[in-house]
Amino acid sequence: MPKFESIDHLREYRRQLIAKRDPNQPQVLVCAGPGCLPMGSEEVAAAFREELEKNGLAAQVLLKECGCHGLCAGAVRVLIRPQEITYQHVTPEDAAEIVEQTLKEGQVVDRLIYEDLHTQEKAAYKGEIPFFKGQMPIVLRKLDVIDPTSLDDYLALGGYRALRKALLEMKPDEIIDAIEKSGLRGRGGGGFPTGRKWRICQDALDEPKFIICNGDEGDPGAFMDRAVMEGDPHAVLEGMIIGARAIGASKGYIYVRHEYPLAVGRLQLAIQQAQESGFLGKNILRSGFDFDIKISRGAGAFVCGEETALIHSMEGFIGEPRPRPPYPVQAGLFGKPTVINNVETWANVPEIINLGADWYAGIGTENSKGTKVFSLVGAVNQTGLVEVPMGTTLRQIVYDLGGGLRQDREFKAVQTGGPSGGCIPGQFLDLPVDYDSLQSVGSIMGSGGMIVMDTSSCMVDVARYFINFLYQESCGKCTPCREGLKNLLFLLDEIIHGRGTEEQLALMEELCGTMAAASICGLGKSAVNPVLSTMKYFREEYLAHIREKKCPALVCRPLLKYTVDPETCTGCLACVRECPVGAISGKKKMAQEIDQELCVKCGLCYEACQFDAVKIE
Amino acid sequence: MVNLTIDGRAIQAPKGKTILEVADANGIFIPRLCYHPALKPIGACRICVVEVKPGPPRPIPACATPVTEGMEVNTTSERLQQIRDELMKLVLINHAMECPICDKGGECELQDLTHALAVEKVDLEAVKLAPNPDYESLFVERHPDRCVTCGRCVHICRDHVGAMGINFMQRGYFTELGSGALPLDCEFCGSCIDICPVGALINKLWKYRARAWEVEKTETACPFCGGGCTYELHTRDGRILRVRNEESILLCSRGRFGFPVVEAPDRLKTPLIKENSNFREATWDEALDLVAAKFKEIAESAGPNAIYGVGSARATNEANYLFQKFFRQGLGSNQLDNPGRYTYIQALRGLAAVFGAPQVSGVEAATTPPQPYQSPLTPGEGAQGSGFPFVLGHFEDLPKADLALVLGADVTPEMPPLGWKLLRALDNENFRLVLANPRGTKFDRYAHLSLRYKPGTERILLAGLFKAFLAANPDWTPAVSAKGLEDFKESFKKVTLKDVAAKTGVDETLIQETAALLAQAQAPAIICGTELLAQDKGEQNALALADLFLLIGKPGTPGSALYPVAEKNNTRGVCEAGVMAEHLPGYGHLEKAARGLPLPEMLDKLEAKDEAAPQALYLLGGDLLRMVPHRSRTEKLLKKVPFLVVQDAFLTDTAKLAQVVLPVAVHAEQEGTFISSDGTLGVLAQALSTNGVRPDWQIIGQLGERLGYKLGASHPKQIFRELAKTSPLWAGLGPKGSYPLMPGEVTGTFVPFEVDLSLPGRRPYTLIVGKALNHSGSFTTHGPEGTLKVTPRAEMLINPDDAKNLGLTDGDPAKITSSQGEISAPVVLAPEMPPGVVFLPEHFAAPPVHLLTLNSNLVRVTIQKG
Repeated sequence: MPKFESIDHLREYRRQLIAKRDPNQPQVLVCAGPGCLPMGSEEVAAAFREELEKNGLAAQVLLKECGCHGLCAGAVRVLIRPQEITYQHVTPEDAAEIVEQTLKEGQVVDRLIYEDLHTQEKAAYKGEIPFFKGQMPIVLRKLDVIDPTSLDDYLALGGYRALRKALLEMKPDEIIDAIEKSGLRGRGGGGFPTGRKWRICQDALDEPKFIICNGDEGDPGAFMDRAVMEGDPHAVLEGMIIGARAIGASKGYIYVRHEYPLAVGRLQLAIQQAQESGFLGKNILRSGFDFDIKISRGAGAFVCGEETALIHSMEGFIGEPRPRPPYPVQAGLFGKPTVINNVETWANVPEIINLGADWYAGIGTENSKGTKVFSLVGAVNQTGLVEVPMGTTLRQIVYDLGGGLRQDREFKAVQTGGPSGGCIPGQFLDLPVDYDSLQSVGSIMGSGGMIVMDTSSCMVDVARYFINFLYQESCGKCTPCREGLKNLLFLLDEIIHGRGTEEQLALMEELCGTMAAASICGLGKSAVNPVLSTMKYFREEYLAHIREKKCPALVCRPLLKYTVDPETCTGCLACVRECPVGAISGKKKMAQEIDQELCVKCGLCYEACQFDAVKIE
Repeated sequence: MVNLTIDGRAIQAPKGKTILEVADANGIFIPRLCYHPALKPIGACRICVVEVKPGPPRPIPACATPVTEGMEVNTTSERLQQIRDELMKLVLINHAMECPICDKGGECELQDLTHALAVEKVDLEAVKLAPNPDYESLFVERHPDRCVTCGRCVHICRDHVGAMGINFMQRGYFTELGSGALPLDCEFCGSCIDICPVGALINKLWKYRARAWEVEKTETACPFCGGGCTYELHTRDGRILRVRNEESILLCSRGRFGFPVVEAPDRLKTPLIKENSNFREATWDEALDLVAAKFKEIAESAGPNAIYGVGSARATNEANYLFQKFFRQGLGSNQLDNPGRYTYIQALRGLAAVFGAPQVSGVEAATTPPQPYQSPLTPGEGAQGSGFPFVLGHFEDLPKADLALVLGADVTPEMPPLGWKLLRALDNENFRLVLANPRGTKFDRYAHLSLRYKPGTERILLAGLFKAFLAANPDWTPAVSAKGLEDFKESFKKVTLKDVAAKTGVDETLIQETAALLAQAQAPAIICGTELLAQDKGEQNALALADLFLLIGKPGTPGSALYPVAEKNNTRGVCEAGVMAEHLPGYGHLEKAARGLPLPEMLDKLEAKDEAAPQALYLLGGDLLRMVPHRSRTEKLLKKVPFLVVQDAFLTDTAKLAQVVLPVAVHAEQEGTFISSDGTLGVLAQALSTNGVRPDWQIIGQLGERLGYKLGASHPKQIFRELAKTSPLWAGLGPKGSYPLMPGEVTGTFVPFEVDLSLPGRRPYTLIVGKALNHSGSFTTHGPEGTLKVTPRAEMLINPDDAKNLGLTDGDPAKITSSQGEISAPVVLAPEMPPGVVFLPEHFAAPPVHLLTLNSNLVRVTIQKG
C-alpha cells in the first residue's frame, strides 16, 4: 500500500485498482459478522478454500470473509457474486455442493436458499428477499462485500473520497454547514444535531480539541456499532478525520469495549493502514492538516457509554458521569473541547459529504433525517441488522422485514432503545419510527436496539429484567439512580412474587418521576422508561399480578401453579423422576398429584410430560 | 457581574459563581448534602436541584450550575420539594439509623437536613447492605453503612491531600466506602472525618468524649510545622478533645491528632534542680533564684559573654524577643543564637548574599488605634523595600506559579500545607512540576520531570543546570537588575554536562529538558527543604538556588518566588525576633565586632577549651542533642558547661544534662505569635490553663526581674507591639496576615558557589537523615495517644535489592555504622529508595541517629544484619 502524497496519486491508484478488478469475477463472500462468526463462519470459509483449491478454482474465484450480512437468523450466510445469490444456514459440509453446483454449473442450491415461512416461496437472490427489499443501507452498504482488513476494498468502493473532498474542496465551515443541513442527529441515543455539536466545538476558544468515537455499545441484544466497527472500520475513521478537520482537532480516540476484541483488532489494523497510506498522521493528503487516532479500551461498564463517564474512564478515573454543564463540547477530555459521537454517526459522515446534504436530508422525516440501523431481535422470524429510512413504521420493520412473529404468535410489544427504552404496544404498530415519535409514546430511539415480544412475555417480568440490568450497571454516584433502581427492583419483585399492592404502583410512579428528574446522566434519567411504559400500556397485567396473584403470560414462576390433569395423565412417572423435591406422588399407571406445598415451580415436570398432562395456571 | 432572580428576588452576582454559591451569599438556603464549599462540586446527591428558566425542562443541580444573565431560578416549587423529599427517603433507606450510638449526633448534616426538609416517613424499603465497620484503623473509625455516598471524603483525599487512601469499592447499589478490605494505610490526616456529612467516618480520639455543642472553641495557630495553619481547639473541662479546621477542613496528621502531646504523661510539672547528679522537684522561686544567682555570679566573674543563649523555633516571637532582650539589654551581650543555624539560617545567608539584607523605607506609625497583635507600624504611601524577604513567597500565591522546581525536599513530611498548595498548583494544566530528590517521594506521582540525583551532588546538578540553561539561552537577561552574570558564567567554565551527568547520575537530556522548562516559565517557583539545608554546605546550596532564582525568577509575578521550608512553627520567627548572633530584631544591623558566636562556633570554643567558651548556657527549649549532627560530640561538650539551664515542656536528652530545668507551657496554654515559613502571623490563643507550668516569656521576665533588668514583660500583646515596632519589615502585619506588605524592589548579584560533592565518609551506603510525616521535631514523640501511634519508631528505609544483598527483610534489625558511631534500627523495604541510599527519620530518642552524623544530615555508613 503506497503512501498517498497527492490527490492525483490517490485518484490514479483508485483507477488502477478498479481497472484491475473484474466485476464479473465469481466471489464467495462468507459472513463473519457477530451473528455468523460464533456459528462457524471461519470453518465455512476454510471449507470453501479447500474446495476451491480442490477444484482448481482458487485463482478464479475470490473468497472473502466479510462483515455482517444482516439477516442473522440465517447464520452462517454466504453471498455468491456477481449473481447475488444468498445462501443461509451454510455448514462446512455444504461448501462442496455450492462450489460444484453454483460456481461450476451456475445452478442454485435450492435447499440452502431463503424460504418464506408463510407462503413457502423460495428466493435465491438478495433482491428478492423481503428482509433486504425494505431496507435502505447507507451505513451497512459495504458490510457484506468488503474485506474489513483490506484498505483496497474500501478504496475500490469510493473510500476516502469524502475525505479528499472535505480536506481539499471544503472549508471547515462548509463541512459543518453540510452536516447541519443534512439533518444528521446523534445515533447514540440522545439525537442531538451533529452539526450543531460540531459548530459549538469549533467555536470553543480552548485548544487542543479532541474527537472521540463512542464505540461502547452496551445494550443487551444490540450489535449495530460492533458490526460496523468489525465490518467497515475505515468508514468510521474517515468520518472522524472529516469531523476533526471541521472542528480543528488533531487527536482522536475510539473508545471500544474490551469485550469486542475483533472490533479492536480491525480498528487497530485500519488505523495502521490509514497511517501508512497517509490518511492519518502529519499533513494528510498534503492538505497541511494533521490528525491521528488512538484506541482507548473500556472495561465494559454500561455507564461508560454516557459521554462524561466515558471521558472520565479515558482519563483514567472511575467511569462515573459528572454534572453538565460544562458539556464535552466546551470542556471534555482533559478539560478540552471535545466532540463525541457514536460509531454509526461517524460512519454516516463520509456518505453525507460524498452524496451531499440535500440527498441525505431527503431521506427520513421532518425532524429525523437519514436512515437508522436497528438490531431486530426477539420473537420475530427474521432477526438481524436492518437499516431503514427514518419514518418507517414499526409494522413494516416487524412484519415486512422481520417476517412476523415466530410461530405466528400474537404481537405484544416492541422494546426500543436498549435497556432504558420503553415497551411500545400493538396499538402503535403504525407509528413511524423517528426520535420524536418514539419519545411521544414513552420510549427512545437509543442506539437502535429493537426487541420484539409476543404474548409469551410478561411485561412485569420484562420491566424487572431491564431494571435488574440497569441496577447492575448503575455506577452508584448519584442517589436517585443508585437507590432508586434498587427500590424499583424491590417493588417489581414484590409484584412478581404476588406480594404487590396498588399503593406500590403509585410509589413506583413517584419514584420514577424523581429518578427521571434528578439523576445525573441518561442512565438514571431513562431507566424509568421500561417501568413507566409497561405500567401505562399493560396496567391490567400489573393488576393481575397484584389483585389476582396471577401472571397472565405464565412467566412469573412464583405465581404459577402446576397441576396434573388426572384425565390425561398415564401414570408413566416421567415427571416423578424429574421432580427435584419429590413433590409428585401417585401410583404407577395412575394419575399423579403435585403437592403444592413442596412444589418449587421449577417446571421440570411440565417439560418431562409427553402427554401434556401437566398444566400451568 | 450577571443579573438573575432567585425565587423572584433580583440578585447581582459575579460571573462564574454557581447558583448555590450565589444563593448562599444572599442568604437563600438551598438544601444540599454532597456539596461542600472546600471542594469542587460533586453533583452526586441531587438534593440541591432547582428549576431554571430558560433551561432544560428537568431540574438541575444548583451546586454545579453557573449563573447566567437573565436566569430565573426557583428553589422551592412543589415539584422540587417532592423530589427532595423522595431523594431524602432514598438516602435514608440505606442509612443505618443508629443515631443514638453514632458519634456524629448534633452535627450530622443528614439529621439537620431531614429536620429541615421535614421528612415524615420512609415508605420505601430495600435490602440493607452489610455494615462492614472498620474499628481497626488508627484514629478513624469507618461505618460504611452510614455512608450517603456523597464522595466528599474520596475527593478531599484524592484531590486535596493527594493520599488516595480512601475510595469507593464496588459500584452501583453496592458502592461502599473503603480501602480494600484492609485498615487504612494513609497519611492519617483525618480530613475525611471532618468533611463527612454523617457518621460514616468517626474520629476515634473524639468519640464519646463530648457532644458537638458542649465544647468551647478556640481559634489558634498550629504548632506542628512552619506551614502556618490556623485551627480550632475544641475543649471541655480543661482538656483538648479534638482539633478542626472549619474553613478548608484540611489538617495534617500532626495538626489533627498531635494534640495529645499536651497531656503527655512525661510533661514536666514543676521546676527541677539537679543535686548530686539527680533531679529534685523545686518551687518556681527556688529555681528562678538559683538561676539568677548563678547567672549573676558568672557574669560578674567572667563577664556577660560567658553566658550563652539558644533561642527556640518552638517558642513564640514574644518569648524569643524577650530572650534576646534579656541578653542584649539585660546582660549586655550578643552571645546568642538559635538552632536554625543548622538549617534555615543557612538559607537566609545564601539568599542574603545574592539579594541583599532587607531594607525598608517609607514606614510610618499607624494612626488607627492598635488592635491586638497588629503591628503599630504601617507602610506609608510610597513605602518600599528590598532584600531577600522580597523573594520569599506566600503559600497562597504558589498555585499561581506555572512551574515549581522542588529540590531536596520531601514536601509533605516536611510541610504538609505546602504539599496541599502544590496540588492546587497542579490544577492548572500549564503548571509544570520538576522534582529533584535522591529518593522517590510522594510528589513524583505528579511530577512532569523527576531528577533522581546522588545524595550530596545538589550543587553539581545545579551547576549542570546553569550550564545547560546558559548554553541554550546565551543572551538571557534576568527579569530583574542583576550584577555579575558574566563572572558567574565564567565560574562554570570547567563544568561539562557529561561530567555532571556522571557525578549526579542524572541524564544530560533530563538536565537540558529541565533547563528548557525553566526558560519557558513565566512564574517559576523554587522550593527547597531541610534535607538540602541541613547539609554541611547548606548555605552553598541555598546560594546556588538564590542564583538560580535571580537568573530565571520573575519577582513581582504572583507565585514566582523562593520557598525555603522553615521547619518548625517559629523557625522563621525566632530569626526575625533577633535571636541570632549577627542580627538584632527585624534583621537589625549589628556591627561585626559586636556580633556573638554562632552556635557551631560556640561548640567549637567549648571543644577547644577556649577562653571565650561559655560557662553558662541558657536554652530556650530545643533538644540540641537530638537535632544537631554528631551527637556524641555535642553531649560531651554540653557536659563541659558548668551551668546549663533548659526551659522545656519535657525532660529531653539535653534537659537531662541541665542543672536547672524550667517547665514551660505549650501552644494551647498560652498567647503569643508565630511567623510561618511564608511570613504569615499566626496568633496563639490560650485554650487551657497552665496548671503550674509557665509560658516562656513569663519565665524570662521573672528571671530578668531577679537580675534587676527592666524587660517590661507584662503581656505577650505588649511584647508583640514592642517587637513589631523594631521591625519595619512587619509594617501593616496583623493576625493571619503575611508580610511584607509593601512593594519590593528586587535586585541581585550573582555569587559563584562551590561546585563540589559534600558527603562525609567512605562507606558503601549513604544515609539521609530527614523528616517523618507524623512527627514534628521531637515534640510529637512524647504523646503516646497521638501520631506516635502511626509512626512509633525510627525505621530505616532501604532499597529492596540492597536489603536482599544484606540478607535483611522487613522489620529485621540492622546495625548501621559510620565513622562517628553505631546504632541499630529496624528496616523497611522501600522501592522508592535508590540502591545505595538509605533513610532514617531524626525525631526519635531511640535510635539517636545523630550518633552517626558528623556535620551534615548526610553520612556514609556500613550496614549489617543484627
